[in-house]
Amino acid sequence: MANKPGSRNWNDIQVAIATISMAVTLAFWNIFAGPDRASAEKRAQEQAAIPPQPAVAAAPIIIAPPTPMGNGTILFGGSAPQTQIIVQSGGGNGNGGGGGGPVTSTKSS
Amino acid sequence: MLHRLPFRAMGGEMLAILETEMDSQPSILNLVPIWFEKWEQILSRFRSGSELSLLNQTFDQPVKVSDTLWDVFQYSLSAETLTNGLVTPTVLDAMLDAGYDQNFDTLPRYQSQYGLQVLSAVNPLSVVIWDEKSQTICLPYGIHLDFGGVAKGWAAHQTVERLKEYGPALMNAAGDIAVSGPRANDEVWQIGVSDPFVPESDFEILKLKRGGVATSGRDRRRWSQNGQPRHHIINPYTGQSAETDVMTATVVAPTVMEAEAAAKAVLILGSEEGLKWIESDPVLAGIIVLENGNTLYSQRMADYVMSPTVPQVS
Repeated sequence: MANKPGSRNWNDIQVAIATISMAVTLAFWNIFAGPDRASAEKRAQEQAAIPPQPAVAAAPIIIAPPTPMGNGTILFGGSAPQTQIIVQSGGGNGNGGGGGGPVTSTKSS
Repeated sequence: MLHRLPFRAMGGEMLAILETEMDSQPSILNLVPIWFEKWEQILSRFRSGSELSLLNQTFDQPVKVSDTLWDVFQYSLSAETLTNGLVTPTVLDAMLDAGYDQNFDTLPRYQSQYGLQVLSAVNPLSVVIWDEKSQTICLPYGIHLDFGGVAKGWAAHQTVERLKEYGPALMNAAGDIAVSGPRANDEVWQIGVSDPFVPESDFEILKLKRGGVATSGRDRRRWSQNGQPRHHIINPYTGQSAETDVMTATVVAPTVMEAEAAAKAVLILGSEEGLKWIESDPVLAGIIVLENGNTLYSQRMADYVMSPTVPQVS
């Protein structure tokens, strides 16, 4: 039985159209990309003529010392203790009870 | 120089004081909050992972406990003996029934409880079985412990014991105060007694060279449950918040643990019985502030107050 006439030719036409499209695309690419490449090469040549600048010394990296750790277990949650120390002069006038008022108070908790 | 370190622990304000010749801060003072954190992780009933909470989840089986928990347990036994059973750690369930089931900072001040509430006397600590040799505690079914103020007093005592080799020390654990000994040149420590009716002011100043002082009161940790006033001092004989005419009781004793237990006992007993009980013990001295504003002083308190004459209202 004979092949259906025309079907093979249509495939050939599709391949031909694709080929031509790609060829045209490449052609235009070369046409318009060409001048950019030329100017890029020109800029590279100009920069090569400039004498190299002296290297700037990089700033040293400071590594912070590790945070000192206490002896106890550190548990998260709750308010962190205020480790501020208040130095207070110890007044006083001997055995009679001292001066400067009470150092702290007792109260119900 | 007095070096002061305020910090927060065990649900209250803490203050550690160390007297040294040094101008710079003694590094030992910075360890105090770490000690308290460690002790709280063992002794707090509000931390589900604490050693005490884990012990409270057991029953009818001996549990080996740490040195810290064992030590506080022993002091609780002494407190119960000293107070004829008025201060016992077995009040936890009664405390929970009263609504004190979480840290006081977050506790709802107005509570409603539904269902039948069974109130009964609290079992004494003698129902708990312990073995000193193996350092084990065996809680019977239905018995749970809350060391409460005894733990705070114990922590204050431990702190000054550790600090005293560096100089005279004072530890105020949310009102429970321990001193290691007299200050430099044999001076006394001046300690204010807070006025329950005027916050942040003292109505009396005590002079203390050794031992401890503590205040127990119903002026702070109180709330309402089903319209009924509640506070955190449970009378073990009724299983309810103590009904008393005392607003605060301040006691001076040879140790802060004894002072804390005695102050709580006085509050539960009420002013009349409480003052008699204080006077009956030669090592205790007390100040009782009544809810009507009057103040009672025990005879031996004259040795501790700064004012030349001790007022007597009885």
